[in-house]
Amino acid sequence: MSCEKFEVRLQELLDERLRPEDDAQLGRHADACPACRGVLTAQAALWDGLAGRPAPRTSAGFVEAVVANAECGAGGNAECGVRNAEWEERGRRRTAVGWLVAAAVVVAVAPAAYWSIRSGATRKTAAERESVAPQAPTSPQIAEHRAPPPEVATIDDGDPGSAPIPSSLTPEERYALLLERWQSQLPELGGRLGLIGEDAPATQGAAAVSQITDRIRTPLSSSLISTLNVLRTALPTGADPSPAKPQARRAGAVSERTA
Amino acid sequence: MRQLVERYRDNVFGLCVRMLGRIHDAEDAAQEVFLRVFRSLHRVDRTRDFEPWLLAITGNCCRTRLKQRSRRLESQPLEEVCDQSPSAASGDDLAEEVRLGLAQLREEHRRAFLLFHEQELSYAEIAGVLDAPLGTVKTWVHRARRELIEHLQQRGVIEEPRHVVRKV
Repeated sequence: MSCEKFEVRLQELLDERLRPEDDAQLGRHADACPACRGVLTAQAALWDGLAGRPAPRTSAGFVEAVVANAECGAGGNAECGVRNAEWEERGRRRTAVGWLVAAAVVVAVAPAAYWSIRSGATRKTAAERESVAPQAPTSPQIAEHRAPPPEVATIDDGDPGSAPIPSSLTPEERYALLLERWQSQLPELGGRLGLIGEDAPATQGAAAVSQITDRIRTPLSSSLISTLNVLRTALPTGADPSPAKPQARRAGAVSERTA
Repeated sequence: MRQLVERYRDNVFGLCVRMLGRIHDAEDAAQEVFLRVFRSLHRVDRTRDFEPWLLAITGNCCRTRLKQRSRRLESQPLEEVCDQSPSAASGDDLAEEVRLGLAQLREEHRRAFLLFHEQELSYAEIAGVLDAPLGTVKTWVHRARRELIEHLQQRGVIEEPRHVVRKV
């Protein structure tokens, strides 16, 4: 028997849980081969050493702990106080899954929130820029289209300058015409405001003005002041240093200097 | 329930110790094994042997714990197992040298060796427990034997041979 065959035979015997030193073939080779005899001796020592190792024993309360844990799990009571490794592991898994889901939500929401905030800031900046920048002039058609329709009649509806004035008139004649138109429109205005009847004569204009309620007193006063200014500038001897109102300018009225 | 635990606790706990190497880990694993068994008892095939099924559950549980341990990058000291050994406390040199030799083996070699020689499982059972091919398990056990013999020879526990042990 060669040393290789000795080694193979030794492993075969050990695999069959037999003692090699009892095998005759191995014994004969070991007598002639000191190296293999040393292996055989070492193998026997290893067996003795393994035999000297005590079998592991559980702790004293192992059985009771297992039974208590089993009853605890069967009863579904999670507060038994006895450690259940599997439940702990499941809890750790749930926690890990929860963190993963939270991270996924954050990853999904963060870009959307970022773009939302960014677009909001952009809109805000644009609005601020618009509020600071001067407004571009708009055409009368667009301005008329954008202006909301008046809900109630105002004193401006009695503006006498809306109708064309013949250019052949002298300044005095123009303002006389404007004053006449304004006075003639007062009853109509009073009727539209519900103060007097629409069929009332023009002489009732002053009475209508006196009946105007406080609600429209201020705009009416403003309009009257405008009229007063027109009259003062229209008088031949009148010299009003205050500038003309835009209302009068629009109506083609003569400026103060012209007057 | 109690009878089942008392009857199989040594086998289950021994296997867990040889797989995990730590007494406390092994006890936790053994508890988990029995809990799994109790929860799955209604699914047991009565026509087949109970022990291989119990062995398979134990192996699964231990492998799961070994994976968790490897993820935590923990070492696996075998000293904890042997510190409680009376032979170590009594100064038995041979048993101490065997313990040292086992601690120097690769993990899979040591597990396969202990499961075969101490737990007395067959190669097929070890292959099932370790989830490894049977031939591989056999190779692991053979290598563990040779390395342990070399360790004992190098440590002077036995008479030094005159030439190197040939590999199988």
